[in-house]
Amino acid sequence: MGSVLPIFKTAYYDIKRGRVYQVLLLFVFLMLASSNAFAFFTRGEEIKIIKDFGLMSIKLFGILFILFGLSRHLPREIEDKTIYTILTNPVTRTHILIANLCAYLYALLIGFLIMTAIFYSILYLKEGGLDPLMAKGIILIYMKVLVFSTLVLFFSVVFSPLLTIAFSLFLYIAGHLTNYLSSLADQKNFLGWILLKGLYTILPNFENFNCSDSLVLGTDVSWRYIGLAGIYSLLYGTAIFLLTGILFKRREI
Amino acid sequence: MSIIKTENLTKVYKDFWGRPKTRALSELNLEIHKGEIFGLLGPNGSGKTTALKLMLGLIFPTTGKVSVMGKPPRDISLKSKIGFMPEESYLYRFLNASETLCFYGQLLGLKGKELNNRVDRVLNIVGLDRVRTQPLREYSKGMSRRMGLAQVLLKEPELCVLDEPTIGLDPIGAGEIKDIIQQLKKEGTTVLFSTHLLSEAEPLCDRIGILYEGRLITMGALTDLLEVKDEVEVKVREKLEEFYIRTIKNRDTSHFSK
Repeated sequence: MGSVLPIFKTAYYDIKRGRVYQVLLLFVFLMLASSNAFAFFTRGEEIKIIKDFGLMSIKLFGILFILFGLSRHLPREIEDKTIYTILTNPVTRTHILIANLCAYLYALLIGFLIMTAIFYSILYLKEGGLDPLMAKGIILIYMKVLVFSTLVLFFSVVFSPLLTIAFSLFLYIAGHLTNYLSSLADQKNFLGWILLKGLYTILPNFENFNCSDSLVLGTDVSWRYIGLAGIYSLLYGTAIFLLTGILFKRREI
Repeated sequence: MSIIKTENLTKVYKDFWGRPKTRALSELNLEIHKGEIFGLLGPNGSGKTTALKLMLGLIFPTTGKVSVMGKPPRDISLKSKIGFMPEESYLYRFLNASETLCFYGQLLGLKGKELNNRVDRVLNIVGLDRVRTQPLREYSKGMSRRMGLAQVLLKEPELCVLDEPTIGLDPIGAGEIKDIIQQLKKEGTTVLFSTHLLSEAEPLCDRIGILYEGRLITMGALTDLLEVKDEVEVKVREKLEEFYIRTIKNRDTSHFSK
């Protein structure tokens, strides 16, 4: 496992200096900064709009960063063949996956911390206080992007970046409809029930992390719920990561 | 003692649906002995890189077997004993020479003074110590090749696998790489390199193998393979280039029609 750290550090350095990360950070900073301007046009609901805008911007940063960054990372290492000189060292393919995923999740965490600071500064200036519910919303978004990251990594091991983006986006959308699949299954015959319930189990349930609307409206989400969502994201992420590891071990480069 | 042994090693590349697409290597039987310099020769597309990749465990054989130091090539315990320089120096272009070598050293588990000493020594050998803080993207092709060789030397390997080590280099750069290869042999390192430049193989190799369309058409010690012509009159030994062209022209092609 000693080889994970140098690969992690190099991957993180590469991410940090990469255009995707920097442009997205700038873009989301501008979005957060402009949220005040949008709120100006909605009398009486300024704070709600700023909170909505803030959480949406952070989520957008996370999803776009993983989608356009991680989807290209491993294919680029294979295409540039830097992976040849790494794999001829005492490094397993699983080490490479762990290091790269961790580098992206770490960069994501740093990005989230920067944006949270900006978001709370704007809120403080407007509201004169710090709403702890927003922090809960941001934690749930991070968990959601964590699950999404493992899916993107999974596809990037098999497909080109373009197909990875397409399949990941498809699953992202499908992952928001799984509760609908479950309720639809109850109305179907046995075969339909098996099929829909199977899909419900296999697909990620992104709705588990979707509490932004209620949090913006001031409805609290318990720490127990957040803990359970965290366990779900870790279990689902680990399962997808293990599958990715099996596929990557079999892949010829 | 065999460092690398292949038995009927065959590689057929498949398409996305698993259908056979290209037969890159056919029934390769090869033994590379400890301490020798072995040249794998052949024109472009003859299967040299595929053979090297199979020996390094980067791809899997379709049929046949390959063992390196008696172990399967993907065995993790082998990796610190093998240095590999790919056809182009595939290194992180945003790192400089010191950072690159520190990165590879850390992958080997080296740290502290030992790592720094080794990095300094290797940069000295390849002549890049004066540009060690310059990012690799600013390096010329020759400097990049030397950097590729530096990451091999850093390992102090028992086996060096070099894919077209002097390609794209000027005569001085190529000469320096050849000197390093000869030095490696003196230190007891086994060197396997592929090339299509015959002038490169002739002064270096103890033995050569010639691949053509994925098949090994001849193999042996250079002294045995190169015939002695006009023994009575002039005693001019046949050049490797003549031997190579003659071997490829006279190859047995009956097996290709199967």
